[in-house]
This record gives sequence, structure tokens and C-alpha cells, in this order.
Amino acid sequence: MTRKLLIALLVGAIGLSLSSGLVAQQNVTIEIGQSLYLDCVPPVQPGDIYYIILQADIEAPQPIDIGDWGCNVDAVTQYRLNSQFTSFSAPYVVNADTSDFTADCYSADDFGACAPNQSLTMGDVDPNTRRGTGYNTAGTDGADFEGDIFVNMGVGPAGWDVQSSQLPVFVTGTITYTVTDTTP
Amino acid sequence: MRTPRVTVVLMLLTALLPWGGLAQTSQTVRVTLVIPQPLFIQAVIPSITVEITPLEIEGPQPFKIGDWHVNIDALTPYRLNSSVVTVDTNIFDAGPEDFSTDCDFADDFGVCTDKTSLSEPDPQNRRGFGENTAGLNGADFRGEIFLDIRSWDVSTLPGFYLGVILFTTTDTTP
Amino acid sequence: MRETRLSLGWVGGLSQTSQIVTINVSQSLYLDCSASANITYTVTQSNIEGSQPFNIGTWSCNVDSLTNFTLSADMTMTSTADILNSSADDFSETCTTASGGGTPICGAGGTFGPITLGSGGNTAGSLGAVLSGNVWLNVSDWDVKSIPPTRSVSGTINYSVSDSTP
Repeated sequence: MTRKLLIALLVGAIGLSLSSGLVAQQNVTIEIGQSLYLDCVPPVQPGDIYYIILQADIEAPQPIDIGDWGCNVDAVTQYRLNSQFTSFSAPYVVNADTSDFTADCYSADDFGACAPNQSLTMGDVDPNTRRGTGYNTAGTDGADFEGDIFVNMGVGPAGWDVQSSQLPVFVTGTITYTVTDTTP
Repeated sequence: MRTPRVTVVLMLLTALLPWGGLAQTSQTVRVTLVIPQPLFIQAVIPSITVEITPLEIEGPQPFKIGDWHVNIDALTPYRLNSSVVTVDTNIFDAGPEDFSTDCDFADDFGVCTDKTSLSEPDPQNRRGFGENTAGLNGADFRGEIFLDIRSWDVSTLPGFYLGVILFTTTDTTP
Repeated sequence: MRETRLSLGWVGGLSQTSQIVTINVSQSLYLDCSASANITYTVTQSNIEGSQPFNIGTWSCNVDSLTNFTLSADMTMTSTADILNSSADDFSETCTTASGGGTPICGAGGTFGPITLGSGGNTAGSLGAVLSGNVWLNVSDWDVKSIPPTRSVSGTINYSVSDSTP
């Protein structure tokens, strides 16, 4: 009788110890489907830029400032910001092309840094089209880059030649802003 | 005088996506440029008032009665013409053909011609031509104005002739 | 191991006998963190813009104890090649609730390496001490390699209880 009771208690203790332990685990997986987020709207111009070139603009030193650009970048990686024309049409302005347009960068925050390059020329390549660079912005409202867009209408025989027979003349184009991961 | 032409350039940048929109790594902005008119011209000389004296009557014809000066801002190649239009006169046989001019100065890609007529069509009344002046203070053209009164018949005193010199710029882009 | 001997007497009897009862306690602490579900979290733009660290999940552990205990945790990264600078110290845990038997109390938690999540005492007669809280992530020093493809890091949080009896 005594032996049976002892055995029963021991078995019970062993069975309980196998059902649990001193350690446990929790697996954690973090996925990142996008490490860069770009949002480009000029800072003082919600949406469109509308600019009228008056006589004074033609007389002013070229290039002339025709508007602002601004981009906000949220990043969990190193990146560079580029912009350039990706389409352009000026059928009635001889000598006009995307090389007449330039952009500068005068402000960058939250670990962003402006680049000195100003090309917006279609087909041009980095670093000529680079507006700036930056790093991880986690915990901030993102790196804000700001700058101006300029146009130089040239001068003399190589300058713009607007065909008055087609007035009003339209020049259209698209500037594309791109952020690229620069992590090696 | 022809009204100075106005050039207006319109720049439209359209953001295709708003703040906080679809997450993306590239964004496009549309650019639209509208140019309603590519030439500006401005006369920068005062009116000319001349009183004919015996000295002019006796002197060589034609004789100088004043200067002209215009400034042109252009986004296209152009030519500059000028003509006299008679407004009123009581002098027989007085008319635009009695006036002539020259062009003796042009800058900022402007070029003078040697034509002197103020009464015939282009190219006889062409003062010069030029190119795009962007970034400059405009092309200045200057010259002198002459009068030949050998055909005039003044029968009522005081005789007078009132006219206007019209400067015109024309886009010469083919 | 503790051994208890009991003597049983027959009242007014002539004979006497004894019964030996031995209780073996081979384990005084039992941990069950099965309520801490695996965490799979996708970092969004709002996470990047928001305050760091941000919440990515919860943890919960049940402790059955016959002694004073301390609940601890540590994290081991199993995959970090996709994201430069990622490591266990980007993760942290806090303890928000402690309930059940054994008068449990939350610990300070903190950033991994080893952290203390809570402590308590003997839970006999109850369903055990339940401690739970949140798991946090700080991505401010991460440098994610080019995307696509989707990049990820993985790790395992290890929970342990230990006897805190001096």
C-alpha cells in the first residue's frame, strides 16, 4: 500500500514537469515592402504652378525663376532624389528643349542634404539630375527638400524662336521626381 | 503707332498625386507653357516739333528734324519697320514721301539696314532686324529723321504738317 | 526535494504502524507563453513618420510557481541580412499588466539584450501569474537594401523564468 502511493505521486510529478518548461519563445518577423516614400508638391503652391512671363521676365537675367518644387521623403534606407523631364513638346518654339530648364535645391532637413547639380534635361543621368541625398527618417515627418525651377529662354540666334503664326504657342512637358535606394 | 505686342508665358505645373497619396518612389509633374505673344516694342523718344526757318529752306535737302529710338524685347527673330502716316496738314503736296530716315545704331543682336523710306512697304521701310533678346535689356535701335520740303506748296499761313511715325515689329520666323 | 514523514496512530490500539510519504518537487517553475502569438509585422509609411519605437505586437506569459520568480526575456536575431544595422536592440518590450496568483508585478522591460518583464511569488491554488505587455520596434537606424524584393528581418524572443529566492 505504501509503495503504490509513492509510485503514484512520483509519476504524477514527472508528468507535470513534461507538460511545461522554464523557457518559451515568440517568433518575430518584420517585413518591409517599401523603404522609400515620395510626395512632391511645391511647398507654397498646393498642386499646380501657374506662372506668367511678362516683359520684365524677358529683360531679366536668365534663367528666371518660374516656380518652386518640393518633395517629402520618408525613408528607412539611404537614398538620393533626382528629377528631370521625362517628356517635352515645344512644336512652335524653335530651339526650346529641356536643357533650358534647371532646378536648384536650397533647403533640406531631417538628414537630407541638397546636391549642387541643376540639370533637368531629359535623358541626362545622375549625378547631374540629383537634387539631394538623405538617410533614414524614422521618427521624423520625413525629409523636406525644396528648390526653384528656372527657365532660360536663350538669347540671339540660339535663343528661343517663338512662331507667332501659331499663337498662342504651347510648350508641355513632364518632370519626374524619383527616389532611389543608395544602399550598396 | 502700333501697339507694343505683349508676350505672355504661362507655366503650369500639375502634381498628379496629392500629399499623403499612394506610396511611391517616383512622381510626375506636368508642365505647360503658353506663349500668347513673343514681341514687345517701346518707343523711347519724345515727340518731334520743328519750325521751318529760312535756314532750312535755304539749306541742303533733306535736313534732319530729329532722332528716333525704340527698344525691342523678343522671343523670336523679327524685323523692324517704320512709316509716316499723315494725320493733318494744310500744305499742298506734303506727305510721307517727304520724310526719310536712317538707322545708325543697333545692339543686343539687332542689326540696322540701309533703307531710308518712310512711305514704302517692306523692305524699303525696314529699319533693321534682330533675334531673341532674353536676359538683355532689349535691342535698342536708333536713327535720324529727315525732311525734304522741295515739293511743298504752302499757301496758307501758318502752314503745318502733323503726322505719326509708326514703328512695327514683325515675327520673321518662317 | 523535501521529504515529509507522517506517523499514524491507532487510537487505543495495540498495534502501531507508519506510512511514509515522499513528495518530490523536481521543478518549481512552469512557464507558458503560448499566448504570445508569433508576430509578423509590415512596416508602413506611417510607422516611419511616427514616433519611435512603435508597437508591433503583444506578449503574454503564464507562470506557475512554487517559489519567488523573475520573468525575463531576450531576443535572438535569426535573419538580418536584408537590413543593415538591424539588431535585437531595435526591439523592446514593456509589461503592462500583471495579475493572477503569486502577487505578480511588472518589471521595467526595456530594449533587448536581457530584460526583466516581471516577478512574483508562489502561485499555488491559482491558475498562475499572468504577465503581459507590448512589443516595440525602432527602425531609426535601419538601412534597408534595395526593394523589390520585399525585405525582412526575423528573430526569436526567448522568455524564461528563474527562481529569485536568495
